[in-house]
Amino acid sequence: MIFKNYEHKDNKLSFEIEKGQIIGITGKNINEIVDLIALKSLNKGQLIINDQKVNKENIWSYRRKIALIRDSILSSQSNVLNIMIEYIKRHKLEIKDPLRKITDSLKIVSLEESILKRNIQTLSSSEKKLLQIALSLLSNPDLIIFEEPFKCLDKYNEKKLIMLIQRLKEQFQKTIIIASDDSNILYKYTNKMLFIKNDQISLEGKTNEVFLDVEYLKKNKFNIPEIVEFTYLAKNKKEVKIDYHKDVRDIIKDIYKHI
Amino acid sequence: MNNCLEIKELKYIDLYKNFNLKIEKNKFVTISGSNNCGKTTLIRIIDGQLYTNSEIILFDKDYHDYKITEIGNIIKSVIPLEYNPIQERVEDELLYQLPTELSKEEKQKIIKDIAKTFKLTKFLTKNVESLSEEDIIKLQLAQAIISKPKILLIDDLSPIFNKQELLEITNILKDINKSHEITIIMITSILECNLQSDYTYIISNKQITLEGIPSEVLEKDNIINKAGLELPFMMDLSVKLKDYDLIKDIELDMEKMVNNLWK
Repeated sequence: MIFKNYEHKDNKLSFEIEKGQIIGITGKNINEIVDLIALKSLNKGQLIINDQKVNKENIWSYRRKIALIRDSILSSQSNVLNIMIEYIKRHKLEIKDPLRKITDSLKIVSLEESILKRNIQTLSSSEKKLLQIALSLLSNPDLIIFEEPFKCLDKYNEKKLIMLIQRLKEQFQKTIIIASDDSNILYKYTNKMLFIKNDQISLEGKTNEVFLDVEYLKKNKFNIPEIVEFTYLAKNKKEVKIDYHKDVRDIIKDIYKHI
Repeated sequence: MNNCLEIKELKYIDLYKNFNLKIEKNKFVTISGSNNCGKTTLIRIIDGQLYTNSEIILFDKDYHDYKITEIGNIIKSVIPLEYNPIQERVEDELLYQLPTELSKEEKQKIIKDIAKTFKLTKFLTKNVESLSEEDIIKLQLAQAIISKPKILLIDDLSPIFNKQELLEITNILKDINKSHEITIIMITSILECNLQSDYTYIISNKQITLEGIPSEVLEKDNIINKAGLELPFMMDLSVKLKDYDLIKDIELDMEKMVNNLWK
């Protein structure tokens, strides 16, 4: 997915969403950029998906291949099965065996079939999140966008969701976007980052590289992963030769060596 | 007695087992636990929305001997996404909480001060409906505080605020707890907030598994992790460095930690 001189408010954006990656987006007003990537509208400028130009005529077919997982969508009084059938109807999905597709989708996100009979109101926040992912899988999307996916999840459910996201990428070849202001999570689990400021791409690049540009991130008021900030401080203030790590246990080993 | 609230052997459906809680007067208390461990239910039980026949002592008197209106005056609760404004304008919503015997000037001063505290001044003349989710919560907190409850219950605000905003709110509440002598019981899932409180409880396996001064409680990293909670980075680093005898005391300030490690 390539955006070239693509109009967004008063700016022209150029960036690429590479296939099969986990891409992080952070900054202010990122939901507007998320809407843009989810093809909520077609703006002026060039938008290329799979080497094809996107225009008014074909945008619908691409939109169908993008799923946006946003909070608080599931507020219905209905049971899960009805919600899933309704989703298929509303999105006009052509599925030969809808019930099988529904159970397959639930299986991917590790939800039991018995959940189909339950009322939405009885689901926990993590079950609702998994159900939203299962719903999005019904349309077999190529790109899944998660907005603040880990908010309100405890560590156990956060780990479960991370493993699912990684499986969607590895096993099902989905491209994943995580829009979040949690720099600790983005640093740990994404491959590429887009930093948004004043409705523009302020910084773009490999996660392992861009998050180490601490001075730039500080200057532009982006959140810095605490593990990076600590290492940066040790390197710059005390000239200690420790490396940047993603896990606190690795940094402990490095501190042990350099003390 | 120094306790304002005491819950003995709490029972509600099958959410709790051997669950006992004692809250000291005028303290800022935090409670944490994994998803679905009964934190919000606990708030609803304490503020009277849910009924339990378990023994609850509120200011040395059996909770069940209070009238509902009395409990409503003593205890206020703030639960995200559960708000039904009575007045249209923000200022009127705040005014509505104040006793009628106060003079107009006194009321104006209280509203001006609380609006300043929660950065709501520019919204005073606006309609409540026009406020963002974040500002609605600030308005709920402001309303609760100016109505001078003895106990303020706050449910987890992390669905609404990010970590930085939440820490700012926690700091404001910490000041209010001291200056207004209101006991604050706050549910949190961001353990950095617990470190700002006087006392903290960790719920796991249907009961209180840890309680005490937050910095000491959070040192028990194994139990915290088992409870499905994540230690703040500096706490995690400190605990592990201490385990390796690389530092003597827990240090939560990053710069001080770097200076301690490499003198």
